[in-house]
Amino acid sequence: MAFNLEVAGGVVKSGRLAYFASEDKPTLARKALAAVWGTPLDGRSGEAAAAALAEDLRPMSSPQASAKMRLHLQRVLTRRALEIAAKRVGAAT
Amino acid sequence: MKAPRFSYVRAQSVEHVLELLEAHGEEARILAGGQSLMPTLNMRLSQPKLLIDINRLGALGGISLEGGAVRIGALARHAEVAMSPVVAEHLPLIAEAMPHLAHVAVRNRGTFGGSIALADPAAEMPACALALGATFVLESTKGRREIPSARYFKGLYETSAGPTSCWWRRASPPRGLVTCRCSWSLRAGTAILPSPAWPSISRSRAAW
Repeated sequence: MAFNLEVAGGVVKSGRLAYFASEDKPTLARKALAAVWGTPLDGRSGEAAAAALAEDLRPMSSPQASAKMRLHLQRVLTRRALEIAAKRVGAAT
Repeated sequence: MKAPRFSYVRAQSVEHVLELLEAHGEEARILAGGQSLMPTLNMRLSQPKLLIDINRLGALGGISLEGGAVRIGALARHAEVAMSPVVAEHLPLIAEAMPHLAHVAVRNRGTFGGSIALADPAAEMPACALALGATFVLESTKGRREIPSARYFKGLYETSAGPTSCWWRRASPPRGLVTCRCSWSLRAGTAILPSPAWPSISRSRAAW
C-alpha cells in the first residue's frame, strides 16, 4: 500500500490510502480513510482503518495467495503504516 | 525462449511515434525500458510486428518542478526518480517506495511512464501515483489529454488511456496482457500535484 496523509494538530485532515497487489488495479480505500478522517492519528488509527478495509477491498485469489490472506496482509500493513505515520507526526510536532 | 521476429524503428521525434502508432495500430508496441515488454516478447505473450524505440527521445525524460507541480517525464528511469532531489523533497512517498521496486538492474532501465502505462496491479508506482493524486498527461495524434490517476486505472493491465485514442483498440489484447503501449504518451509526465506548501501541516507518508 501507499499512504499519503495530511495531518494538522495531530488530526487526520485528508489523504489517500492506495492499495495494490490485491485488486485488479491500484485501489483507493475510502472507507478505511473515513475511519480515521477527523480523528487523532495515534495508536488506535491502524486498527480503525484495518477494520474498515474489508468494505474497500475485494482481493483476488491466486495460487500464491488467497483473497483472505491478501486482505489479512493488507490489514497488517495498514496497522504498521499508520503506527509509523503516527510516530512521524509525533516527531515532527 | 526467444522473441518472435519483429521490425524495429528508432523514433526520431514524438510526432514520429504518433505517426507510427497511427499507421500500425495494434501491431506496434512502444519500447521504453523494456523491463516488462522484453520478457513478454520472449515468452511470446506479446507478438508485435513493430517495436518503436523511444529511448532517444530526450523530450520524454527529465524530472522538474513546473508551475507548482512535479513533472516526471515518461522516460525517466526509476533510478533517476529514486535519486532526484525534486522527488525527494516534494514527493517523498515515491522516493521512499522506490527501493521496493524490483531491483537495481530493473530500476536502471525501467521507466516511470512504462510502469504507469503497463498498469500492473501489483506494481508500486501506480499505487503511489494514486495516493498522491497524480494527473497523467497523454498525447495522441488527436491531441493532449489529462487523466486523473483515480480515473486512469481500469483493471488488469487496463487503463483509460485507450478507448478515445486513435491508436488504441481494446479489441484483442493478446491473452489479456497489454504491454507498454502508452508509455510514449505520458509526454508531459505524471504526478502533477499541488505545491506541497502547507507550512502549518505536518505530513506523513508511508509506503510498502
